[in-house]
This record gives sequence, C-alpha cells and structure tokens, in this order.
Amino acid sequence: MKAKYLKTIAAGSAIALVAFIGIQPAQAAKKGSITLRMTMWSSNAGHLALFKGIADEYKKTHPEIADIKFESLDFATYTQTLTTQIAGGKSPDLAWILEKDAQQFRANNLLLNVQPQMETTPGYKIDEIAPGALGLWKSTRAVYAYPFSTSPFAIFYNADLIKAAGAEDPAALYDKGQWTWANAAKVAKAVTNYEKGNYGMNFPTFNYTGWNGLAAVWRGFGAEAWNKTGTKCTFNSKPMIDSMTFFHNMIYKDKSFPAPGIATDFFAGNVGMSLIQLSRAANLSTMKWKFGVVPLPKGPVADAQVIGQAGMSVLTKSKNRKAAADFLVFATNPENAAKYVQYFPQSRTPLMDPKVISKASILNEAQAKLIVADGITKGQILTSHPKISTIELTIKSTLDGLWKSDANITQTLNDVCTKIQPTLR
Amino acid sequence: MRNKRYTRRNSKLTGWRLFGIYVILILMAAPFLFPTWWMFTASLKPIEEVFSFPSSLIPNDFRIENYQEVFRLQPFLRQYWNSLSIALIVTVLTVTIATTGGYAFARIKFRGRNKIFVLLLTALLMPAEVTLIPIFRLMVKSGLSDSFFPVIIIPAFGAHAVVGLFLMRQFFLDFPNELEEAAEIDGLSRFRVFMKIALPLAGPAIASLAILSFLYSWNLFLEPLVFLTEPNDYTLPVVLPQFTDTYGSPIWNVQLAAASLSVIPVMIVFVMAQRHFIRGITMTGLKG
Amino acid sequence: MKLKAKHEERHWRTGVFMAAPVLLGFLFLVLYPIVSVIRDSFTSYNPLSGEAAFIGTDNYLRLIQDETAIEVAKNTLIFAMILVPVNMALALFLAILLNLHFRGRTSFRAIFFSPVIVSTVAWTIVWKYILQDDGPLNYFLGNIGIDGPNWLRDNPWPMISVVMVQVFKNVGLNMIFFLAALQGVPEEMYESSEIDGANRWQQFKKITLPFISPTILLVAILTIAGAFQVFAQVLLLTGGGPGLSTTVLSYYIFINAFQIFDLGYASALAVCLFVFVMILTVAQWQIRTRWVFREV
Repeated sequence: MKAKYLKTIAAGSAIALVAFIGIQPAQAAKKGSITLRMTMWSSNAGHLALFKGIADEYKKTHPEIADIKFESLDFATYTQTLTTQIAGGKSPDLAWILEKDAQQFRANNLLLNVQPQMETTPGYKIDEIAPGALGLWKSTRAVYAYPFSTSPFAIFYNADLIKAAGAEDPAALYDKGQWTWANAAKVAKAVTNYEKGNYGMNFPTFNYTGWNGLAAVWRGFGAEAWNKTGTKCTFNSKPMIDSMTFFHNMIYKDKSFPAPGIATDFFAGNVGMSLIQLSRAANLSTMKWKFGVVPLPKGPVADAQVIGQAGMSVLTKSKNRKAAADFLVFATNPENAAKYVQYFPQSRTPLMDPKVISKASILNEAQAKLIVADGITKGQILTSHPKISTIELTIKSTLDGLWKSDANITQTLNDVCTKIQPTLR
Repeated sequence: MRNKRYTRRNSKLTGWRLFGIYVILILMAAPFLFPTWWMFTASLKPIEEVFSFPSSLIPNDFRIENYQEVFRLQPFLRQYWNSLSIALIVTVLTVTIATTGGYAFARIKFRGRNKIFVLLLTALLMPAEVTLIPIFRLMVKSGLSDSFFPVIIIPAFGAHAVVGLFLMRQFFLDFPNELEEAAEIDGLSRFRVFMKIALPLAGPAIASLAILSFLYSWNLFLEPLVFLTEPNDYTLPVVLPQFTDTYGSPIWNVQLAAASLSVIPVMIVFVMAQRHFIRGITMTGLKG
Repeated sequence: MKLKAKHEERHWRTGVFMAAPVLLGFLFLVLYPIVSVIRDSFTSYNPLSGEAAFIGTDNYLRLIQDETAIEVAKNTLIFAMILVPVNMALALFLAILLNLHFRGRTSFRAIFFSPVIVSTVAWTIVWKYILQDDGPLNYFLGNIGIDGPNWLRDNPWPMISVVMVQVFKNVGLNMIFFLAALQGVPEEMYESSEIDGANRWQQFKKITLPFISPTILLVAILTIAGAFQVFAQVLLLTGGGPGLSTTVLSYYIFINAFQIFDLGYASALAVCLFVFVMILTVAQWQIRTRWVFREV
C-alpha cells in the first residue's frame, strides 16, 4: 500500500517537473540578438503575410535582429490587453494604436517620439504624409506614430437586394445629390419589409458597445460628444438628441436596424447596407452579388465624413527602443507603405491617387476618389479624449438606456453629461 | 423489532411515486443537460444554421471544419498543454501542502494552533479581486508577472490551499488515535508516523482533493486573464471568448467547438470515475 | 493524561514545519495583499504612468458619493439575496430526492453534478448562446406559445439570468454536501419518531434539519462568500449591462483596476467588499449556537 502511494507521488512529481520545464516561456535565442514584438488587432492572414514579408526583408540587412514577432490580440479587448501588458512590465516594442486611445497614451508618455528617425532617414519623405492625417499623432516638434491606416467610414450596399426590394440605388441617389440620412432610412425600410429576416442596415463596429462609432451618424446632424478642448460635455445638445432620435427610430420604429442581441452579417447576403470602415471590408471580393460603395449620407446639418485611424508606434517602455524605431521607419517608408494600400488606405499623397488605390483594392477609380481621397482630405477623425478610459465605462453604460424601445432619449443623454462632466473639467 | 413501516424509508420506490419522481427529475435535469447538448451540436453546424429559424436539434450539415478553425485561429494545442501542465503542477503542490498542513493542524499541538486556524479561515472569504491587485503589483516589481509563476503559485499556496487544508484537517480529525500511538511507542518520529501510517490511509481523501484542485486550476479565469498576455501562453478559459470575428462578435460555432474540446476530456474522466469521485467528496466533506 | 499532553507538545516543531508552507502562502498571498490593499486605498496609483501619491481618505469620500458604486453595491446585494436561497433550497431539494431509493439515482446525481466540473467560461459561453434573443431558449418557448424576452438585455431578466447560470453551475456541489449530511442522520431517530406517530414533514423539521444544520451553516458560509466573487459570468454574459444593471462589486473592482487603471479607488472598493463579507461571515458564525444543533 505504502509503496504504491510513494510511487504515485514520485510519478506525479516527475511529470510535474517535466511539465514545468516544458512550459517556460521561450527565451531569446542568442545573447546580444534582439527580438522585436509588435501587437496588432488583426489576425487576417493577408495582413500577417504582408508584415512578415516586410520583417523578413528587414532582417536581411539587420543581422542584429534575431526575429520580429507579430502578435494578434483580440480586437474587442485590444486596448485593455495592451495596457495590461504595459502596466505589467511586459510592454511590446511596437503596437498598433487606436485613434480613440491616442490622446490618453500620449498623455501618459507611452509613445516614443520617432520624428528624429523619420527626418534623418534618407528617402523617408516625411512631408508626403497628409498633415490632416498626422493630426492626432504629432505635436510641434514630435511625431508619435505613423498613421498606417486612415480609413473613412462608408456605406457598402448589396445592389441586388436593394433593387429587388424596389428601393432606389444609393449611388444613383448620390449622383442626384439626394443621398441623405432620410433617404438612406427609406432604402433601409424597404429592404427590411421586403422579406422576413432581412435588415436594411447594420453597423458592426458599433454593435451597441462601440459608441464612439456613432459619430458617423451624429456628425451629419451637427452634433459632437464634447467641445473641441474636451472640457464640456455636449451629449445633451439638441443636435445630438435629434440624431439619436433619428437613429432610435431606425432601430425600433422602422426595425430596419438589428436590435441588441441579434447577430447579422452583411456578407451573408441578407443585409441591405453596412456602415463600415474601408480597412475592415476585406471580404468584399468573395461576394456573389453586385455591391456598391457610397460615402456616408448627408445629414440635415452637415455632410460629415468620418475617419477612423490607426497608428503604428514604438512604446516608450519597450526594452529595444532604438531598434524598434529603426524598424518602424523602415516598415513605413514609401516603398513599404505602398504595399499597405490593398488593405489600409494610406495618407502619403502619392498613395492617395485614385488610380493607385483602385489598382490595389476592389474599388473602381470613381469610388476610390470619392471615398478614399476625398474622405481622407475632408473627413474628420473619430472622437477621442485624454481621459477616455476613465469615462468610457460611464458613457457606454449610460448610453445603454437608449437601446430599448421605450427609451427616454433626452433624459438618457442628459444623464451622460451629468455623469461625465465632472471628469471632463 | 422491525416494524414493517420502517422499511419504507429504505425500500425501493415503486408505482406512481416512482413515476412522479422521474418526471420531476427529468424536467429539472433539462437545464443541466441541454447546454452540453447544444454546445456539441452547435459546434458542428455551419454558421447560418447556428441561428437558423427554426432552430435544429441535430445539425443538418456537419462541419468538422469548425474544429479545424479552432486550431487555425489560435495556438490551441499549445494552450491546451498550458492548461494541462499548470493544472498538474498546481494539483501536486496543493495536495502536498494541504495534506501536510492538514495533518499538522489536526493531530499536532503547537502554540496558537487554533487561533491561527481561525485566521486562516479568513482566506476563504477573500474575494480574488481584492487580493489580485497587490499580488499583481508584487509580481510586476519582482519581474515575475510575465510568466506562469503567479498562475501556479496563487492557487497552490493561496485561498484554495486553505480550502484543501480545511478538508484534510477534517479528514484527519476523524482518524483513530491508536494506530499512531502504537507507532510512536515503537519509536517513530512524528513525521514518519505521518508518512508511514496516516498518509497511506488518506488515499481517498487525497484523491478527492487532487481532483478538486485539478478542476480548480483548469477552470481558473481571472488570474490567467490578468497575468498571461501572450496568446502562446494563454490557458483555455482565457482563449475561449476570443474566437471572434473582425468586429468582436463571437463566431459561435467555432467558439463552441473550442468549448467542447476543453470540456470533453474532463467529461470523459468524470463519467468513468463519477461513482468514486462523488463518494470521495462526501468522505472528506462537511458532514460536520 | 499529563504524559500524553507533554508527549503531544513535544512534536510542535514538526507541526510547525508541516504547517509552514500553507502559513507562508497565507502570509504572502492573503495577509500581505490585505494589508497592501488597505494601504493602496489611501493613494492614487496609475500603473500605466507609474505615478503614485498619498491622498488620504479621498478615495473613500469619493466612494460614498459615487452613484455608480452605490448602484453596484445594491446590485451585489440583490444578486446574493437571490442566489443564496435559491441555490441552497434547490440543493437540499435535489439531495432529498436523490437520497431516496430508486434505479438510476446515481446517474441523476452525476447529471446534476456535471456542470460543477465544466469550466466556468465554457459553461457561461454556452448559456450566452442559449439566451440570445434569437437563440435556442426562445425558440423552445416560441414552440409552446411563449414569447420569450431578450434574456440578456430586457430588465429584470439579465440579473436573473446571471444568477440562474451560476446556480445551475454550482448547485450540484452543494447537493453532494447535503447528500452526505443526509446519509449521516441515524436511522433510529426516524424509527422512533414513527413509533410516536410523526409524519414525514414533522420528521423533516424536527430530525433532518437539526441534524444537518452544521452542514447548512457551512454551505451557507461558502455559498454566500462565493456569491460575492462572481466575475466571469458577468464579464462574459452581459459585460455588466445593460447599463450597470448586472455590474456587481467584484466586476466593478476589476474594471477600475484593469481597465481604468485607478488602483487606489479599486483598492478602496475592495476593502469595502472584504469588510462586508467579513461581517456577514462573523455574524453567521456567532448566531450558529442558536440554531446549529451540534458543535462544529
């Protein structure tokens, strides 16, 4: 009896020891060699192949780099995972940064100023980058990120479905100058009523949690979350109330927008229009039906185009700052930036040429000019704030009050301001 | 003097009573069984059928690819191994600590023993979120926060070990004295008494504790979520919610396939061993 | 007797040696964090920027006035007050049923126990799928003519859903504890009471309950303590929503610590949670002499 137990304990300990050794995180290969790590929120095979290719080329001329790793983090929790890595002492060397986090990361000194490298590297042509695109990422004497994706929001639509529903084609409406939110709602309603299980429009980036994407709707009504300096809450302004009432009607009166808890997929073919960013529409080429692309509809107050941005930065808490900055400059020089065009709209002027864009992506030249070139130059970046992570939870949970059929819109928006104004001060 | 009526308590139920009991139990079992059923069936459906209207009880269209997707989207095999090896180490450590400690608290008098035991019980009440923050900072300062160390140490030495200690102490309290006293008269040291007499007889209790500890580590979510930040290091509970599309909504069929994979081995072991397992828990248990 | 006492104390060194690991663990992983959290609650600490400053009782003052914290505390209480009675009553009911003699009772025991061994995350994810507005539960209800609500979004259902998902997961374990206790009640007690003419219900009240009262106490302590630690279910089922209606204290602490990175405030909240659970447990322990039948 005793021997049996002792044997079990011994076996268990042996297994445990082997397992313990086996699970040690992989150490760096050689002493003196540098391994760089970049976090990103995409796990798309094409994106990864693109970056790996650039990395391989870089390694050829830089023997001190042992490896460059690309780590795909889940998009929904990207910011939180990244900040936990940083706070936990395990900061990556490079990272994709969301536009909504730009101000907060800068305020906490998390992003490295890479302007020196950009200016001193021959052929980098920093002046090619459209100044508007750099807005979030630069101050007078510093640049904190390369805006590797400047992606306008647009409406993709299923032309076949809309035609079958008897509604007017959005591109035709646009040409007539009548592509407004009111008309868009009509098209959506027609598609919804056409067949059970259809929805007129969906908005995946928003999906009832990503509230700052709603700027794509409210800006057309002349509304904004807060004033320019971020010190006064304007969620309860009349334009905002109007825009949210309009949106609420689309969801609960027309029912042309899926209510919370209902999963829809534009690429499955039963959704008429989808409000998405260009950079996230990689699946379009696989569609079996005729599709169209138009800019965001005009609102009653303004024709507001909205851009989402993503920057690529070096993190100040990285242990290999210089090596990371050198790689960043290489990966975003004119030659490599040209490779991004097929996935991410670029903000280097030569790459904003409609001919170049339409060759690399699925858009034709007219669409490319309309959406990408004009969108980037005329559009405004999504809402951000230096204290975003403090107020985000409050905004999201208070705005939740809007997403039910008997919502009191004015009251809810007032609540948002009451709650966040003290912090905005 | 057995009255005929007494045997009713111990006799087998028959007739309408039995039928009634079965009906009640089957109805109540539904929320316990159906989730597992749905998990397996949905994991094999193509995405359109997952939300098809009307819902299908058995997949019309079997898609093994969902399971392949699991391995394509994440380094799942490696993550499986992470969960497994961590759970094994935690189990070995917890059993060792809880058994030796439990014996000490049950059978050996030392100063302040009872007071310390009550103090230890407060560990049971401590919400993990409370202790996690300082432990997180401690790990960061000592440079250990990017390894498996916290995920192993916290269950093996922390509140869970106290639960194990409590169970083992309870078990050893009921131990008959005579065996040990006889051994001591023969001149064995207290520790050898423990090793040679008490330990071998504690088999069932140790087995139950081992199973409980393994499950506890296998299911740990908060600590791995906070301390493991690289996909290669993730354990299964952290990975499961991450099978999402580019917009952050879950890819249900793939996510449930991953959940099935994480549940199947545990289920198999359980089904094979459930009789011993449930009895073992009763034995160490809180009969009072 | 005196000899035995000396004899036992002689081994105290061995005792301490054997208890050392768990004591060390307690020191570093329980005691130190408690002290640390209390200390942190008087500071502002942002791990992202690394800044920390002593700010006295500011966090606590803020806590008392924080509407969110008050609502969260309310939710936590409601959650516990629903979960604990439902869990314990269901566990006892099942234990009594499955203590009777009939074929297949071992299989049923296994069925009700099976969710206990499944990972909380897997279990919660499956339920999230089932409770979708257009998911299997509403499909079944629709088939029998009931229009099911949106279980995870239409109040008051989200809170109830979170509670029930946790109950189904956990009740099997409590059931086993009660089962063990029931089997420990001596047969003679029932037999003699039947001679006196007691019916089943009286037997239950006067014999069964008192005899298993130590177990009831311990299960209550564990279940109550566990109710305040629910976290994964909230994160995965509802994300604390809609609004804040399912945000419980442990989840709120997590958000403040790991999403907002205001560790000082999170610590203050944690201290409050700890103190509250302490008070509850001590209260239960103290009143045990009133209703628990035997010494624990």
